[in-house]
Amino acid sequence: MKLCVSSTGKDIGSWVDTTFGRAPYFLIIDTETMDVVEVVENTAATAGHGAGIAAAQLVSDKGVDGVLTGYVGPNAYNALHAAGISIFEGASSQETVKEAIAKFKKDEYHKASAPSEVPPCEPGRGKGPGRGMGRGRGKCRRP
Amino acid sequence: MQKTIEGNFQSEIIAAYHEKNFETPVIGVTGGKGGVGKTTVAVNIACALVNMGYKVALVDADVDAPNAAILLGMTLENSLDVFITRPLINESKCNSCGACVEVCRLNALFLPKDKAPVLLGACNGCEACLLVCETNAIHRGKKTVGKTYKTNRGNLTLYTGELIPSLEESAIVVEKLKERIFQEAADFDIIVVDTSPGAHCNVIKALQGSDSVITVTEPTPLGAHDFELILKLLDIFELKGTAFLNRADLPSPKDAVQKIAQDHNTTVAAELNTDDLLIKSYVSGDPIVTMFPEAASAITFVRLAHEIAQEYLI
Amino acid sequence: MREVVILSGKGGVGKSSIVGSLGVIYARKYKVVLADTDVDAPNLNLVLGAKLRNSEEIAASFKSFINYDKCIGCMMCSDVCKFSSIIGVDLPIIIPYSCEGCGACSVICPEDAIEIKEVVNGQLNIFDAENMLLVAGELHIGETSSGRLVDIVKKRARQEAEHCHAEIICTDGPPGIGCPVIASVKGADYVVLVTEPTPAALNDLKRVVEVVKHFRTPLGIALNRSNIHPESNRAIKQFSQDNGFFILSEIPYDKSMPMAVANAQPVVSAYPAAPASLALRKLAEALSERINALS
Repeated sequence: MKLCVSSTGKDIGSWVDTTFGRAPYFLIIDTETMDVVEVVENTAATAGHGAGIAAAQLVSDKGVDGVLTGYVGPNAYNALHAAGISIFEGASSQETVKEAIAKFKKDEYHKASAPSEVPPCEPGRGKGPGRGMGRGRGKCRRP
Repeated sequence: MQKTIEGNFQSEIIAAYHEKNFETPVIGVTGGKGGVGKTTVAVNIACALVNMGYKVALVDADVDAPNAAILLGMTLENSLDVFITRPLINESKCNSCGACVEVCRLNALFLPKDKAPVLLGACNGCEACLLVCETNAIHRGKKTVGKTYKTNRGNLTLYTGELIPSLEESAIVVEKLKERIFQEAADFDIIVVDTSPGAHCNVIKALQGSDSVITVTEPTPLGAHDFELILKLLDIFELKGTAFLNRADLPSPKDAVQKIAQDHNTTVAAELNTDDLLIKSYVSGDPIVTMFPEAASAITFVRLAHEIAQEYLI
Repeated sequence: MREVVILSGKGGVGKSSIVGSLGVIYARKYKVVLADTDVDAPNLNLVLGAKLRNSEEIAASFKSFINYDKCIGCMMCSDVCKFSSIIGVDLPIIIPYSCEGCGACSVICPEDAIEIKEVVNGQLNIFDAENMLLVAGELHIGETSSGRLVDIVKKRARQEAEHCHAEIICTDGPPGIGCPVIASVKGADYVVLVTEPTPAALNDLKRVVEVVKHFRTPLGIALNRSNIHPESNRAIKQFSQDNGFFILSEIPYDKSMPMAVANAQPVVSAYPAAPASLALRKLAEALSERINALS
């Protein structure tokens, strides 16, 4: 399938960017061959309004079958859903695009079936013992 | 704003800002900082003018947080909805050209491949999509963004604007509220407009057409800072007026505020100290000019009302 | 990292003073970044006596510009403008303070004489305050698009927070419930609603609660000047109870608050033993408990 992964850079070794609408790049990858079919600069990332919808438009126009990212906002969710594109959430900023795809192939990400009803939170956030209001910034869906 | 006004047109823009098609004087009440007593001043001056026998329209243009009715103990009546356009897409007419999606600067529309576009994001009703659609597949629908009210009590008529919470169209609600009162301006001897805090679009729209503006502030560094901001705004729009120094007895030196007023050719027309009776009236829904007419602050409001009447009504 | 936004609906109930003190309290234990998204009238730097480190101009607004060499004065642009922002009789003039930059005028213009351009509408100021960094936005006088400027302030605050490994961002929000408030709430982990016991403040509290509920952000209430009117104090508690909102702290009014403001110091630094300071420390504690309890 043609899978679009939100990325901080232009190659498959780049870190995953966890926010779909504001990610700087989308890598479109053929999951069978692991080839990068296309590198798309996300021109919607700096949009004042509706970045998620505009980003969805961008990848939908490229004819992708699925999107893999950390978190998809409700507007982008609705847009991708309207275009019949599958959404896979939960990728972390601690993994590269290549690692994320490997995990994707092992079915480690769940397919989103409804827009997240709450704003994103982060795994392992919250004050640890002693010090620190959480750590890391990988976004996740709340259970 | 000075940077974006193209030099030659500044005077036309200011002239249009001051244009009114009625004689009734309009007094604005503003302040920059929140909670300095704008509504208290507006309500009491309006009531003092009513007590002098004038027909007064009080306009609560703080559409995010309108409180004049609460200070007056009034229940809002005669509501009218405020609408913006919501694009309605006729799928059978749409040829999926995508022009509407492209023209929408808010990215509110999404075009699934070979289908009709869907409205998903925040739309401000600009109608650019309607203009660009070649097959006339987009129609004008309506979306309610707020309400205006007109509530009458004797010689006092309160006009209130109210934005629906979670929407962003405050400026449209202010504009429709101003339209409603200005259409009926001839029914009144004087119009008093209370604005929101801040120094931008909602305040500019609320003060449009004012003959004079009372700027309420307090002597704190925060009050002084915001006082300067609002006086700069009044200067740009060539709005004249006076300042009202509330809570003058707060433990902050008054000279900062006085210096700023001086720099902007504004006189401090009144000073008010913190006053238990004022708080009592504030929480009772009864303005101090009627509840405790002997109180020092009530006397100050009545004096200001007389000065306004002297200048505009006699 | 957690992001807390302080809002109130009604202005002048003590948001900035409370954020200043919260910042000071948290900075003793954590790395803290502060943000001021009251871009109409930013005051947090004054409460903290903060020093400006640097300032940059921000272009976060779009406006229409007419090329008068091409314009034929047909005034179609004025007819289509839904924001009443084009005036004139035979020559269109854009009113910049209400132009939304929507582009409808440029679509209709038969001569292709109207262009939408990005314009500078404010600035982003970075301040140093004791152990904290403050990122504050300031809209230029008469400018528009406060919501987009708020987005930029929040983004910068997050970047700064990541850079210095901050554990918490405390944002001093604007009054009201309009666009800059909505931009401030988006993406926040927790909202503190500051109110005071008066019927007007309760009315505005109810309206801002609607906004926060819309975004499903957890919220708690800080009741400032809790002692000025017992009846309204009870009314706010009743409202909170009816809606299941937690009152994080009641901060009594005493002279220390205005005196601290006059001296450009947060009250917990200026008068640590004042009743207000005690209540603010309780607020900080209750707030961090609530934040920790978030999933």
